[in-house]
Amino acid sequence: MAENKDKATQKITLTSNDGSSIEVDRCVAERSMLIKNLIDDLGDDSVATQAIPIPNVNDPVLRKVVEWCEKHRSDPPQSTEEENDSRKKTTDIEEWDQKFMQVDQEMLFEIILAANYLDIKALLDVGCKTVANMIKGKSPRRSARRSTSRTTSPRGLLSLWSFFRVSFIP
Amino acid sequence: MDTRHLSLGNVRNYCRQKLRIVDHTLDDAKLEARCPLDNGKHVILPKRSVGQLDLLPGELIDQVLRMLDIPTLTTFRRVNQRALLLVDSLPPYRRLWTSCPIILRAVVSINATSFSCETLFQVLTREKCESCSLFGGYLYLITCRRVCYFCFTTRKEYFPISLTLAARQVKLQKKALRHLPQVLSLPGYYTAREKLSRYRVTLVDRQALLRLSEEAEMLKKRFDYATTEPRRYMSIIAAPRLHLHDQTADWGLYCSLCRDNTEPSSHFRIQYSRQDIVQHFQDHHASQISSSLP
Repeated sequence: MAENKDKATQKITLTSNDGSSIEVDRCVAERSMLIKNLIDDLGDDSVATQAIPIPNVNDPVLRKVVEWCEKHRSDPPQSTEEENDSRKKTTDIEEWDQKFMQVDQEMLFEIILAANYLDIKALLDVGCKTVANMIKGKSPRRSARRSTSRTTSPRGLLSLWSFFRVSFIP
Repeated sequence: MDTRHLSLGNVRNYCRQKLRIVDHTLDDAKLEARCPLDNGKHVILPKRSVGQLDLLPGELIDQVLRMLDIPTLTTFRRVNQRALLLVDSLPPYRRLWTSCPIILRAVVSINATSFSCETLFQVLTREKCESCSLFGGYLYLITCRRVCYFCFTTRKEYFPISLTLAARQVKLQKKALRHLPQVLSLPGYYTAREKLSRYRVTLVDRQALLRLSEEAEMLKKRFDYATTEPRRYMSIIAAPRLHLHDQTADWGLYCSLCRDNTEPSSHFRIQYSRQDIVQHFQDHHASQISSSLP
C-alpha cells in the first residue's frame, strides 16, 4: 500500500517542444495513456532520473493540459463501453470544464490536438463537445443580417463564417 | 410438408409491409415536398477550408460532427462545399441518407434537436421497442426512442405536451423550458381518423417535464384519447432496423393471416422482423400453411 502511495506521488518531469520542463505527480501524468504506457515500458527507475520529452506540444498548451489533469486526478479511470455511450449522447459539459475551455480558438484546438496526441480520452471529449457547442445555434451565412428571421434565436445571429474565419483562410 | 422447416420464402405470400389503415403519422405528411433535401444533387469540389476547424485532423472533425444533432448538421452543410463534403461523408449521416431519407426529412422538418446523429443511428440499429419486447416499427422523435404502435398510442410517456400548457402547469416562462427535448409539429392530418391540426405547436417531452417539476403531476388529470390523440402522432415516424453487416434495412412485416385478430399475442397490428415472422407462422398458422404448400 505504502509503495503504491509512493508511486502516485513520485515526481515526473515532462519537457515540451520549446524546452521548458514541468514537474508533475506520477498519477497526474498517467491520465495520459501515452505517458502511462511509456512509463510501463521504460520501468520506474529511468523515469525518475530522466525527463520525458513531449515533442508535439508547446509549453502553454502543456501547462493547460497538466492543469486539467491535476483537477481530474481523482476521476475514475476510463471504463466500459456502456459509459462511453452515455458520454456521447449529450453535449453537456461540467461547469469547471466549461470555464477551463474558455480560451481563444487556437488554444482550444491546440489543447484538443495535444489531448489526441497524449491519448487523454476525457479531455479530448470535453474539447470536442466544446467545439460542437460552438457550431450549434449559429447561422451558416457570411452576413449575419440575412439570417434575421423570426425563427432564429439571438444566438443564431452570429454566423459560422465569421466565427471560424472561413473566408480568411484559403 | 413439415412446418418446422418453414423459411421466409415459403411464407412470403402471407406477409405484408403495410396495413390498409393509414395512420397519418409523419410518414403521411408529404415530407418529400415539404423538405426536398439537396443531398446527392451537387458535384462537390471544395475550394476553401472550413476555417479554423480545419486545424483539426479529419478523425477529430468527424468526432465533433457526430455529437451534433441533425438540424445543426444541416445548417453546417450550408457553410461551404468543404463543410458539405464533411457532413455528407460522415458515416452515420450517409447511412441515414441512403437507407431512410424520410427520417432525415422528418427530423429536419420538425426540428428535433435533442439527440445527436450518432444516437439516432444507434437507435436504428436496434430492433425492439424500448417499452415492451415487440418489434419497434416507429421512432418517437422528441427523445429518439424506438417504439411499437401499442406503446406510442397508449403509454403516457409518448404523449407530448404543448409548450404553452407545460409552461402554465409548472408556472415558468416558456424560455425557461427551452432546454427540454422538444419539436415543432407540422400542420396536417393526424391519427387514423384524420383529425386536422392547423397550426404548428411546440411539443415538449412529458417525461422530461415531470422530472423538472412536481407540479406537472397535475397534467395527469387531462383526459387522454390514446389512439385518437393527434399529438401522439406528430412526432412519430416509421423506422427500419438497419443491419450493420449487410447494409440492408428491415422495415418490419405484418402477418396477413392475423387480419381480423385483436388478441394481444397475435394482434393484426404487431410487426415482426424477418426472423420472427417465420417463428410466428410456425406457432400460430402451421396448419393453414402446411395445407397450401406443395
